[in-house]
Amino acid sequence: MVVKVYGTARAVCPQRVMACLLEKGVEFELVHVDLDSGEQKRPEFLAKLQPFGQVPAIEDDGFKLFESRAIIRYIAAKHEDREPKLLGETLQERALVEQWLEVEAHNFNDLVYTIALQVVILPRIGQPGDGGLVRAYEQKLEKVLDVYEQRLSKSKFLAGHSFTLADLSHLPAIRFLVNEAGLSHLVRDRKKLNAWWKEISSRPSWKKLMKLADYPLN
Amino acid sequence: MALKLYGTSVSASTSRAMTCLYEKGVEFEFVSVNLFAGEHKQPPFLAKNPFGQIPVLEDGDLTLFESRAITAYVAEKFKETGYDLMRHNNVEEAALVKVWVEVEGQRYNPAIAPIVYQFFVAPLQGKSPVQTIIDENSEKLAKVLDIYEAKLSTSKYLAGDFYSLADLHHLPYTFYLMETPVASVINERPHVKAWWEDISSRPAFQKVAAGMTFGGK
Repeated sequence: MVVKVYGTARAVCPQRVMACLLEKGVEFELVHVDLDSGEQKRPEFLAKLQPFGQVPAIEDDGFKLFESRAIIRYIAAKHEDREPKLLGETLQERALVEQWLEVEAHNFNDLVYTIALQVVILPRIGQPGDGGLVRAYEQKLEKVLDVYEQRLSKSKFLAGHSFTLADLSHLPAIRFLVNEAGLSHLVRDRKKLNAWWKEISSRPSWKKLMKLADYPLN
Repeated sequence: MALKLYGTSVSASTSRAMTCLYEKGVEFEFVSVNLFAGEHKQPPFLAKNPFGQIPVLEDGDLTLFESRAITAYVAEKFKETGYDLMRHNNVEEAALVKVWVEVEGQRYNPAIAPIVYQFFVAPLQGKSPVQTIIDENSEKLAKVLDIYEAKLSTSKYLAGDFYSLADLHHLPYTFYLMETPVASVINERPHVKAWWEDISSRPAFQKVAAGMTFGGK
């Protein structure tokens, strides 16, 4: 039975999950949730799928799960024996994967989300975004990405020498930064970060997802 | 060689990591970091955590930062000893633990941390608590806790009928919240209240809570 992913192809958190499923070659069916009409906030969705009214949620042969970062860990653990090894192999490698997953969640994500709110989400509901806030958060992102640049000059990928969940988790938000947010310079201006981004975004699974989401290939 | 945990005893994130170490019965050396002197933002410490934050765990030649990565590592490395925090023998239970670990990190923490900051940290910097920040975040926290109340009426703990890392991660910030008027959001929800009383009475946390006093009690 295929895994059901509830969400949309262009939303960041569902993309995180789908990227992982594609990497592991797990068949899935994207069940479209109408975010524009607030389907995810309706009682049925809240009761059956995600009590916080957000996407994604998955259903794996009756087993339900939400929170994209928990889902990718579950998928990676369930199919641990299958390449690519997304969790790290030794205990130390696994710890570093966890560390950079946490960095994404606590040092990186909020900054990107605040920008997305101003640049995309508020305008979509007819409210003006705060340009000053965008610039302020851009500055914060610069400092954080300096740390990433430092890290990536010591190792090819965030957690070490191979592509893992830690890198994967960043794909959707960085795609947003270099496209809709118009902040591609944040990546381009950093040599190692830029090389890393080019490497991870040219993985076949990510390209497949870009096609699914109907983005122009670049 | 013993593990080394860098941080302060009043820091919620450090307390999160320390509680996990106690639950697992793991010996460690606690190294105090002088936050007031800005030690965490200077080169020797930045070499351990380039983001300039506590806690940091050193285990031989492995240096780890991010408290929730530290707890995940400790829970896994010592999975056969102490309390089973991550349900490693059951893939589905382990996944549910991860769901509620994420809920704490993504939903609970962003609402509760600013409240605790206003009451406990702002005064240390000579600032008065900003009531609008407290009110806005109390409202957010209340909405999250409504969902917790519903969940905890169907299971004793967040991921199931077993205490896990997911519950543990909530301890430090909630401990501080209970010392403020906003404790009402916990006390008004019977299942949440009962859950809080249960998890905060665990000996491992009691040991850590003893050091969580801003300016002494």
